[in-house]
Amino acid sequence: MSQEHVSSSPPIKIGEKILLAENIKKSFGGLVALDGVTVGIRKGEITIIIGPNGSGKTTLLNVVSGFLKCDLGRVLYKGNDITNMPPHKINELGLVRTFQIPQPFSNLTVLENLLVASRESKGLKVLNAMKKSKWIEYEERDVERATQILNIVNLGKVADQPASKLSGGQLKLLEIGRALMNGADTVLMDEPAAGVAPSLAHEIFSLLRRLAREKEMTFLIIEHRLEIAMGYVDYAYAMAKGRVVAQGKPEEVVNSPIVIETYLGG
Amino acid sequence: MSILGIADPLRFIFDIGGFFIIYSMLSISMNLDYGFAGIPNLGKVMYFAVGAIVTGSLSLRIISEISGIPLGDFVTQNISYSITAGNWLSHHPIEAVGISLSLIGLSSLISGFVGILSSLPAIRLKETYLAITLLVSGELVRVISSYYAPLVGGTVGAHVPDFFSWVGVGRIHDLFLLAYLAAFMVASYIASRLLVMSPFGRIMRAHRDNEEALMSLGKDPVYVRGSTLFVSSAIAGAAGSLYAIYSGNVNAGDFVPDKTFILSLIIVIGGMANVNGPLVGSLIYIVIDRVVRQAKFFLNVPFDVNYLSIGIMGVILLLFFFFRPKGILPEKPIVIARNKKLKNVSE
Ligand SMILES: Nc1ncnc2c1ncn2[C@@H]1O[C@H](COP(=O)(O)OP(=O)(O)O)[C@@H](O)[C@H]1O
Ligand SMILES: [Mg+2]
Repeated sequence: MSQEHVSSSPPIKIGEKILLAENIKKSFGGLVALDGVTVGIRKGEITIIIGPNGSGKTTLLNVVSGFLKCDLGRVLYKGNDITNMPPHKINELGLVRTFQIPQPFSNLTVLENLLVASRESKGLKVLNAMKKSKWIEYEERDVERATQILNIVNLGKVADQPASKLSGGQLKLLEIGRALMNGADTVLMDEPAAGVAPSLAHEIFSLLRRLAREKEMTFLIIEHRLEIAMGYVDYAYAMAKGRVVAQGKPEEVVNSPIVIETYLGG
Repeated sequence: MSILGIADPLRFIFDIGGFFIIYSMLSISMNLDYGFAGIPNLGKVMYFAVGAIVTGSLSLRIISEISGIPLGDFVTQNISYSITAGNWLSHHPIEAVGISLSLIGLSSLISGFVGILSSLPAIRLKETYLAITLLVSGELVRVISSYYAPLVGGTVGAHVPDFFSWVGVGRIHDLFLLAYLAAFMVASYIASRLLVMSPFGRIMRAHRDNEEALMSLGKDPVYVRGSTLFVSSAIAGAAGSLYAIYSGNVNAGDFVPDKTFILSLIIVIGGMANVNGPLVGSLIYIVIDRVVRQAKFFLNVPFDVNYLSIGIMGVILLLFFFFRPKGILPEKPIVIARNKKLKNVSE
């Protein structure tokens, strides 16, 4: 599998919509978590979704990444209809997500957690796995790349510790590290900075900024800590009660009366 | 000389050796599924049964084809024919080795495919339901093959000829047979070791630890389960075939779910997700079991004394739960050596 993903449609250029969730509806029993949400993400940009707890942000991310089936609406990614596709297939197209509540492989070391994320090793096929010569080259290259990423997310010192030993903040960093290691070009992050020290959070956001500019990567970020995130993002959506209530330039969205009201109103 | 009523200590050790080999292979298989990949395979005995049944069902029929000596009715004739076949094999060593190797290979392969098949319900079923489905499938195999006599002789069972009659009789024969079995155990051990130390082995453990995270990173859990079950079931199937060859008899009724539970005990005590755990666990179980079977001549208990070894294992298991929950050889984090060579990587 290569990092460039084959797609039947023409390649998407910078600034064009790479991901589009249209009129998404999702209920849990009687509770309407998403009530007709439409969100579009442009390639090479960092888009943020804000909104009070319970407004449906995580549910939207779960629908887009294939972890929840929606009741209505559709999701387009790089011109493919990915509505209700299984998560691993969506990932193959180049989209990766992180979890608000970290989901580590607890008994694997931090380094191994990153290596699992790699999509390129030949050793992933069971018949190749028993012949080390088939995969050692890929493995060495992966280990090197993983080590670099671990240093970036400040986990270099705990690389050989089992993930179960990490603190809450470190687990958030591990989520980010795995997503970067995955080699996907589109990254959805659910509250990546929660529990991370402000200085490190700034470093991470500037890294994302750089990856967006230099590698044409695309980010969709759910974030509560607006004071940290706002300086880095291109576009913002505000959600409340399962709907998009405002969208546009980050400062405008944050200062719009309806957003101020929903935040103050709970 | 007689220790504990053991008339022939060498024979006793030979016995322990044979069962140790077979239980090691089965618990290596169980450890791959449950210890490493987190698949609760309560149907493990089924793959063992499939291997034994394939061998029990085909050995005499194949020999009849090759030797040209007619078999007659399989169900009624297989006991006497197994002696005829043994005589023929004693003069045809190359055929003996060739046929037994083919039987083991075929049993292993068929069992491996049954493994892939049984991973399919897992697409829809959550862990507990999958465990129950596998348990029931194992029972189905046992019941059907017990009652359908043409397969492996039904409730009477089917005989498997002595594939080492050409070596002679007595100790040298037993030694040859044991070495033959041991070679397959060593191969299974090496295969399991290579597998779990590979990137795929890492994916197996990741599957066990967090299936959702694994999917989010582009790995298909169905593929992980299917591939794991293929390898583990192939090993269990080979063990079944070896068991048929070793004991000279296959009785479908023997493959009760208790065996699966014993295997779970073995891997928990030996150490889950540790490649050496199954060997240690099997050794402990087999020694206890064989000693208890010997000691029964001296014991007077109001129940079937053969259950005593399961009871003892149960007590040991409880002790482990309290004092050493990760078993004798706990899972160790795999520390990966960093590449010392400096390469130019731009990132
Ligand atoms: N799996 C689920 N089952 C039932 N209710 C859920 C589930 N996931 C989310 N919800 C509900 O949906 C609403 C939106 O939740 P969520 O998307 O997690 O909000 P946010 O991420 O914006 O805080 C909440 O009321 C939450 O309780
Ligand atoms: Mg949330």
